[in-house]
Amino acid sequence: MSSENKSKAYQPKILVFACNWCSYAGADMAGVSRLQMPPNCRVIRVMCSARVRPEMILSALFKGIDAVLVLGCHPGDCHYSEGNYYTRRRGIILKKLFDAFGMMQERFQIRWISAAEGVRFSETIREMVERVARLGPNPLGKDHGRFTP
Amino acid sequence: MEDLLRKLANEFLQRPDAECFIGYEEGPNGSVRPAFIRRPEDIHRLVWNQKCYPNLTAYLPDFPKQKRVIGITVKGCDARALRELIRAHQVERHSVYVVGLPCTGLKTPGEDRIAERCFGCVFPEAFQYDAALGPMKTPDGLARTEYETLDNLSNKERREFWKLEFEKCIRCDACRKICYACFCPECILDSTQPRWLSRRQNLGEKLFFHSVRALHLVGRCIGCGECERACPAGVRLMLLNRYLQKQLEDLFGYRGAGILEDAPPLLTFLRDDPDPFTGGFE
Amino acid sequence: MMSWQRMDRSDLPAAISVLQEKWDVFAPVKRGTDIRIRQQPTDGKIFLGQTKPLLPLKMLFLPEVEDLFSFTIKGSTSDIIPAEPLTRERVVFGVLGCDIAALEILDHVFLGEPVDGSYNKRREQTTLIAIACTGDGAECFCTSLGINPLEPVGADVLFADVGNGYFFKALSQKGKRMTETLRAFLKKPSEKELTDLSALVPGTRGDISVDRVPKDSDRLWNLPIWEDLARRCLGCGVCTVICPTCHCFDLEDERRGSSGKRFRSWDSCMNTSFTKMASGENPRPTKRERIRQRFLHKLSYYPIKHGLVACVGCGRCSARCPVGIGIDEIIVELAEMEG
Repeated sequence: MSSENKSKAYQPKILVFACNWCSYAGADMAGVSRLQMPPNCRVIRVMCSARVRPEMILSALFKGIDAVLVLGCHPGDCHYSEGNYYTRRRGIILKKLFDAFGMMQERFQIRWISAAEGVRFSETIREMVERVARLGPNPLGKDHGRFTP
Repeated sequence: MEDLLRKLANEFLQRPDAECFIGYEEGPNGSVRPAFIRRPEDIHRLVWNQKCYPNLTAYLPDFPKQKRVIGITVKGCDARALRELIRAHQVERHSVYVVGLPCTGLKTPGEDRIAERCFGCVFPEAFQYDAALGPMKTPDGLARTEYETLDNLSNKERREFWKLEFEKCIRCDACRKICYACFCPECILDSTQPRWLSRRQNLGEKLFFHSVRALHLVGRCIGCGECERACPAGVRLMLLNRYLQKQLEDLFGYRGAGILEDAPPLLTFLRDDPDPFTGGFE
Repeated sequence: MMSWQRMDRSDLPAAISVLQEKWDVFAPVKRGTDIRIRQQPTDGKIFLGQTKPLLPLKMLFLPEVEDLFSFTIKGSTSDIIPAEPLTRERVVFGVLGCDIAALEILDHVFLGEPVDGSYNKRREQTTLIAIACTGDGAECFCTSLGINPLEPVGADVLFADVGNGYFFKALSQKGKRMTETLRAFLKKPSEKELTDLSALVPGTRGDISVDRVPKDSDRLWNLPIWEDLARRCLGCGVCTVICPTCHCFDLEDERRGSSGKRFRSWDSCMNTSFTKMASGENPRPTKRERIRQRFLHKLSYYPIKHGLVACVGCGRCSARCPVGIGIDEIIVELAEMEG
């Protein structure tokens, strides 16, 4: 890493996909309730967690983002009935792909958060940031110099 | 058997609706390569032996949809590919005349032992061939033969292994073009809007390429090993594809592309699918 | 110019260390079955044999990916900082005659007007040590193209691996500079060794009659061979990557905000979208047009424009094509057309 980074501690950069109906509303709930959260996350609102295609997750991780979090409704509660069932399957298979490569397993997570679960949202963010801070920066980040100064 | 093959091809080419007959012929340096036979006087070129590696069904989606019929020779693995192509509406069953090749295993190029790609071979027993050179069933012993896996490698060892493997990769796209399952006219990996993949040759780009390929093949890879054979750098792509196929079997009971009527694993779900995401982070 | 000089085999590592004081040293390295030209020092055994490296010598003169410049956009102007192609001079060991001959062919494009600055600098600052190759690979046919693999034109130093020693012969000023640097390791060979060296003969196929291929593309345009090849061809482009004379490249910008880099990378005329235009039009819409273009470029357009067939008979294409298409077979068929 550059010498600038040695003087300030590494700050993880985390990409969060949140589905409009449940988890993004949960994020709003966390905000409205003034729950403290670290500022390391970039949140992208999608209509359903199933809209997130694996290429989005892979692209972000292999270009150096420190973690990707996909948030959706609890299975059974999807606003579109079935979306998150597909998300679940895709997520499991993506995890297995990372297992095959022996990397990135902890940098990709899925969690189900409902609209009422502001606390769960803030806890998820906090936990994710702590975990990724401990893991260190994504080793693929230096290749691109995009996410590192 | 080659005599019977040529007889069948000859009879097929006499049909008024015959477009061509796709089989194998001798290539340069002792190799075998695909043959597209249109005239009976060329039929003598057709061969069938243990070097007949290419999966000829990969050519089928390129033929325009038409009323004419294409003759094609298929081994067991190729027949699985054909079933998947039919399922994906890339080929219509009535537009192919399928001649089964009773393969008992191909030889490793240049050596006198069965190729590793043939281990774990399973024929699609339910498939109806139009003709065959012999009984079309899974060869004894091959279905249960152990093949090399990633299982014994630790996480760190796997990371190191793939780093070296992908360092060999030269982004030539041979694996993509030879794979029967890669029939998309516009591949996401070529897209310029958005530009998912650049031409940089660093590890991140190569991981992206191979991850997307592996994921798009999930549930469709027939384990024919053509990707590995086509790769000029010898990247061990089969290890990755077989790993994911095994996961599909363990997690969702999916027994493999084109063998039986299991639904494609990423197009279906069960309400009580395993759910590792409800508790804490793994 | 100079005569043969002998070095003990065991002295090679020490010799390379000495060279590294002045030059970056490159050599073919074998890892498993994979042979590539790599910068020393590196993991893997140095391989000084007649098996071709997967990626040909062109990779050192037209790299697979090469930064051209970085830029920062300021209002209506921009700052452009050109990339530096080389920081040190280079020595490349163990190159084969076919690959060197390919450079002579590429020079027509990259050293003609306008001169490609990066390629030019790399050519000027690289000393090539060629292996005296007898070229008996099953796929080789360099002698059919007028190439002498035992003493290729364009080599700075000739190298042979005979008996118990390594032998060097400087062929140019650049080569002489290199052998002078190694004089501590070099001595006069014995009479027997000199006899052995002069007994080397090339064993490649000389029967591919390239000169009988009609150069006139009008005559070649509508031949059925292109349709036949197109059926079999996968359009994968392996041939263009491993071919020593293929040199098409693509330009791409990476940008973040107002700064970025422009780089070039190997491209392939076998790609579906190679000639696809922004309107969606593609003058080479099917494999037939693309495969015809590839071979006409090498066998017709290039000879007409530069006087040289753009093929060196290395046979990599026919050895590696997954469906057995090779330029030698095509040359033979086109030559037969002449009657």
